[in-house]
Amino acid sequence: MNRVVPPVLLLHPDRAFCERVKRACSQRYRFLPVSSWSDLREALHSAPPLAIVIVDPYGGDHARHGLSSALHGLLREFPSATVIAACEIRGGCLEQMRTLGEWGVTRMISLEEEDTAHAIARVLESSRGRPLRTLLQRTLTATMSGRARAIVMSATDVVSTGGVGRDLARSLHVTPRTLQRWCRNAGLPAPRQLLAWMRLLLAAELLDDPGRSVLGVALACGYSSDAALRNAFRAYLELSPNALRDRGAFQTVAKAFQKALSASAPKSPAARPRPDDEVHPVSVIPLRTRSAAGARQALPCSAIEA
Amino acid sequence: MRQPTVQKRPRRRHRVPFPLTDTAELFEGGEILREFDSDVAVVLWKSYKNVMLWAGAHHEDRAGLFATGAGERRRAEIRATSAEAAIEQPLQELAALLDAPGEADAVMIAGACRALSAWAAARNASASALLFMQAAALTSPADADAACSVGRMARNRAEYARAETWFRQAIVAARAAENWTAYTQAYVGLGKVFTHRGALPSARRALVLAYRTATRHHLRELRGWALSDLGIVSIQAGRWADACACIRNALTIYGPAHPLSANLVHDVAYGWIKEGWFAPAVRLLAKVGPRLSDRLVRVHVSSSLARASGGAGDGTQFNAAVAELRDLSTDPALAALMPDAWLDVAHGAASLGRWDSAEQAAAAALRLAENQAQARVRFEAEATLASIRGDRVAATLRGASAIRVPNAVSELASELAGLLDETADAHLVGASAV
Repeated sequence: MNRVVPPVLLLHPDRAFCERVKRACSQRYRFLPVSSWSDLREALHSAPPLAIVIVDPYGGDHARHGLSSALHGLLREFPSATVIAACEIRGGCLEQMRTLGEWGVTRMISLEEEDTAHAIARVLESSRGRPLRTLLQRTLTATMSGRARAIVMSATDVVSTGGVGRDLARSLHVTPRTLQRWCRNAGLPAPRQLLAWMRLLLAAELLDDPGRSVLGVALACGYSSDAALRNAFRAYLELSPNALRDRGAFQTVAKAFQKALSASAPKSPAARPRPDDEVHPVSVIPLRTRSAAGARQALPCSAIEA
Repeated sequence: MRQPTVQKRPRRRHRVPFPLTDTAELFEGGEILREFDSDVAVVLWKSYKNVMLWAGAHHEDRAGLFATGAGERRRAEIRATSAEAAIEQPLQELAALLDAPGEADAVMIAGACRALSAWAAARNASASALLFMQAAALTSPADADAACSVGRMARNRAEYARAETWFRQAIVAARAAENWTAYTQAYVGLGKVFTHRGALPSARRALVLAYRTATRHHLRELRGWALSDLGIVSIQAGRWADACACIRNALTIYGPAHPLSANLVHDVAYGWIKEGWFAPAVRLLAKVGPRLSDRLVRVHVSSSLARASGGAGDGTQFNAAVAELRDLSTDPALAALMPDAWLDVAHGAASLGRWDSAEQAAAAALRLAENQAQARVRFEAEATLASIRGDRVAATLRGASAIRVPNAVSELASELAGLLDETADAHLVGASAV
């Protein structure tokens, strides 16, 4: 897989802040300043879904008469974009902050507080896998265990950087062998397959946008070419990218992923008899105790005595 | 002759995936802005963001995290908002974080977050309380109690996946610190999560572990809680003998002098309701109900009282219980309990022959259970709804006088009622250990 370097699209009047964003991007992000809202819209059209946008929510209006309607329009047009608003958060702005949340802004950077290069780098890092995580939260069934969900969410972060299986193990601070065991116990596919599914989900989300080419989608998701993406879709779904597009790419891939999860679910506990389970009900196993006559007497709940 | 030295097995480090921290809210900390008004909300929200940024940064990167003078500006904001005295100190401590993030004390920051969480919880701002407690747990990863509290709060909000990961985190932290109280509490909490999900074997395993640990380390009260919850699991599994045994053992642990937990009484009464022994159940629940201050326990008791009084033919008691439940249903912190509660109301209404009310309550239970992925309640609600809709006359819900109450049950009811009378002056805590 190719490493993915997501772009950071910046539209902000504060020059010093722009410099700090540039330093924060260093080599992990592609720094792309734009000069107007229309330029930003155009850049977003061709940018991968992992692009991060940083804007002034007031649109450069220093008197702060109101939030920028251009920002509102942008978020309506690109509802899944990761947009970070950077401004000074003064008193009396509660309603405006609430509005930004309703519009779909992901995070705020408080100028003159959290606008150092280190802080901006942290904000970018934590925003990185957000689009796919948000999509997955809507897709994954609520019955999925916490452990499985935590591993899947870590996988989305790894996929967003074009990482592979050992990167997933590293991000979870375990060895690849431990990760294999975790995936097996959590009812997940093997790490390699899990990451492949995450990439396919990301690609499917992009494919649903008719303006994107298959090659563009492939490169944005870390595939080396459109052929590599086609082969991946055929291997897991037996469908071509265009066929997926016709029937709703993300929904189709998400359903197939759920099916794959059901297939790799762990066996029910009944198939693996354990002590303290239904096989040895609590009331059957005796516990020794002395009655007045010294005779043995069975007590319930004895299986849980240490 | 020298005895060979027994080599201790090297302790294996127990790892779990990092706990889930994302909420349904896309905007970071948006819940705080929604639950509070005025500039206090903005100060709280900014403080939360600062802590999350600090907690997520590497130690070496913390020194240059915040802009120069940010601390002073924050203190001016706090003065300007005239924050309540209860939160002024914690907010000031978090403002100090902005002055010198490289030298900030994690314990102090975690303590400030815990104080803000407690303050928010006291105002029924459950989402904000959860966020601040989570911030405390992330700031101080070795703090098992904080992780356990996050798990409990998430569970109460029906966020079971998140709760599970935080209880597991608490288990790891507690084991490392040999904090057996938190370890036991975390396993009890995990058991409750599995119980809510309907994963009864997993719940039983977690609770048995909790019981064994509590026994080994002489944690009497927690041993009682583990037994009490094992009783609940047994009731749901239909193992009445085990359920009664667990609850009797729990009562033995508490003894007559101990302020009797309303949960325990409720567990006994609920088991009887399932058997159709409504009269003794009503007797106990009606005694317990008026003493409760904990809203969580009030939901359990009110819903069970509605079911029992319906089964016993007491319409007045039923109406009172449903009115109480309606009041409580608006609290989002009690969301996880409402599907079961409305299902009980449906049963009670059907027993009284109030078919329209029964159908409405069962439909509400089904809808909530589907939203919260409570599999067991969903199946029961579907079955109950089908029964009510399909054949209102021949619905197999038991009537008031159909079942003869065994003597042993009546005796136990008298025993417990006597215990409740004995402890009438004692404060009835009614709060769960986890």
